[in-house]
Amino acid sequence: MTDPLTLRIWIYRAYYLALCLFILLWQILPLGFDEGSLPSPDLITALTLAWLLRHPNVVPLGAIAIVFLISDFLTHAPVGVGALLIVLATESLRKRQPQIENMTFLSEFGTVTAVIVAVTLAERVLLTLLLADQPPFGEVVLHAIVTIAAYPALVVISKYLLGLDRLSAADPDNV
Amino acid sequence: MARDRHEENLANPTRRLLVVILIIILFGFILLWRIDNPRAERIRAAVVDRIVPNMEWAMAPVTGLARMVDDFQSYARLYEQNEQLRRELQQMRAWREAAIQLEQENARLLDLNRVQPDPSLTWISGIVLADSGSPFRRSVLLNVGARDGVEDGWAAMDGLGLVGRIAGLGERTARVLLLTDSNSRVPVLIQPSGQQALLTGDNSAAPLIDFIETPEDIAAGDRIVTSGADGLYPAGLLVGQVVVDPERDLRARLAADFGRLNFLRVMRNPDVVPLNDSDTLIGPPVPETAAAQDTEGDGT
Repeated sequence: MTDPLTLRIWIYRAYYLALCLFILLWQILPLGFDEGSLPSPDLITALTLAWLLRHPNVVPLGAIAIVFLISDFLTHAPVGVGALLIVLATESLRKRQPQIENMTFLSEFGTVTAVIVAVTLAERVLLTLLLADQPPFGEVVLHAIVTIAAYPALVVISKYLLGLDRLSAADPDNV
Repeated sequence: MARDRHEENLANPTRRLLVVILIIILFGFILLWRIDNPRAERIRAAVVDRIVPNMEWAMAPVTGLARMVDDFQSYARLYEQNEQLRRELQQMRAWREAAIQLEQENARLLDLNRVQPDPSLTWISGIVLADSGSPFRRSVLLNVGARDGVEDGWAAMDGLGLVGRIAGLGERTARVLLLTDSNSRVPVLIQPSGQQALLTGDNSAAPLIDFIETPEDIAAGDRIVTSGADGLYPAGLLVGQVVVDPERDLRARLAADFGRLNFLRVMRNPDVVPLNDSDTLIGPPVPETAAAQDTEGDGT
């Protein structure tokens, strides 16, 4: 009944939830705030995008929604804003899956950059429309840049440490 | 074949319906957060209450380990620290003399006055479980909550200085909004000039001192204490010292050690009015007559 492919997908789904929980708990450890230095990257967003572009079945919509909603609650962020935007972003990426499958790493990186920038700006616009308090724009931009910079590292870790590769046979010179 | 299955999956009308429902639910969360914020914050406190204490078995050893690594790193700077401590010890001896003299004088004056120290300032000690985990917010989570008698709005201190106040309360946990958070505003008194000011957090390590009448009277090194003008913080809690930043703005170097918040004292304050409705503010109640006049004035 369980063919090896289905089993692998479920194992990676469990990995995804466990990794996100680990990252989230690591972020809220009381180890002092990084004053003055760079903000820490949004690893959960980068991980979700990296895995979605590699193998969309291992990051199901429900898991993404739950992870980001819990993240919003725990990190004292506006409730639901991050979750809503990432759900919209991942759904639009899922629709483009056939094109994404044949991308080189550079164009994949470009796509991810565009998505993160779009999510950051959309969050800004949404919070402005809702007349909510917002952190300074410079810090938000810096956070987005750090997150984008962390993406290739997450791809390398996913590929070589966790063995999660593209759905289709990708070019050997990817990554 | 994989592609066929993929397209079949996405075109599935049930899945599409689920996506739309999910988006509506998430949007509902946002609206709830924006429209009925106290209720959303109570839900948040309940979620945090459910998750964080249950995860303590995993988080506590990691925190301990990371702090130990930190301590080991500081061994590398042992010589420098030793030198610095010697210098500071020298200065402390001078201060100690002054303190002893003041203590004796104070004891004599108290005796003359027959003053008792304020008995209402007792505290509940809590351990820091977690921090905000976001680069844009400065808050920590304590392991004491409503069941320990903590209430919203109470001040939190470390051994020496003010750290922040309780903003968000669960059954087993309480969130402390730190002085450095960009939402933190604390009315303070600057000694010895006695000027009132507002300590405004801006996510940096040293909050800005704002709304000072005559900044010329204030020098770097002046003591900052809470003024108690908002009826929220007890008066006279030590906050820190005035420093001048390169842009000539006055900032506060905080007395509490924000790099290592570990144990905090939550100061009991029976005067704080709890925030229950969405349309009331924390602080002393608005006088009835003034409020009534206001609405009349609006009507005409």
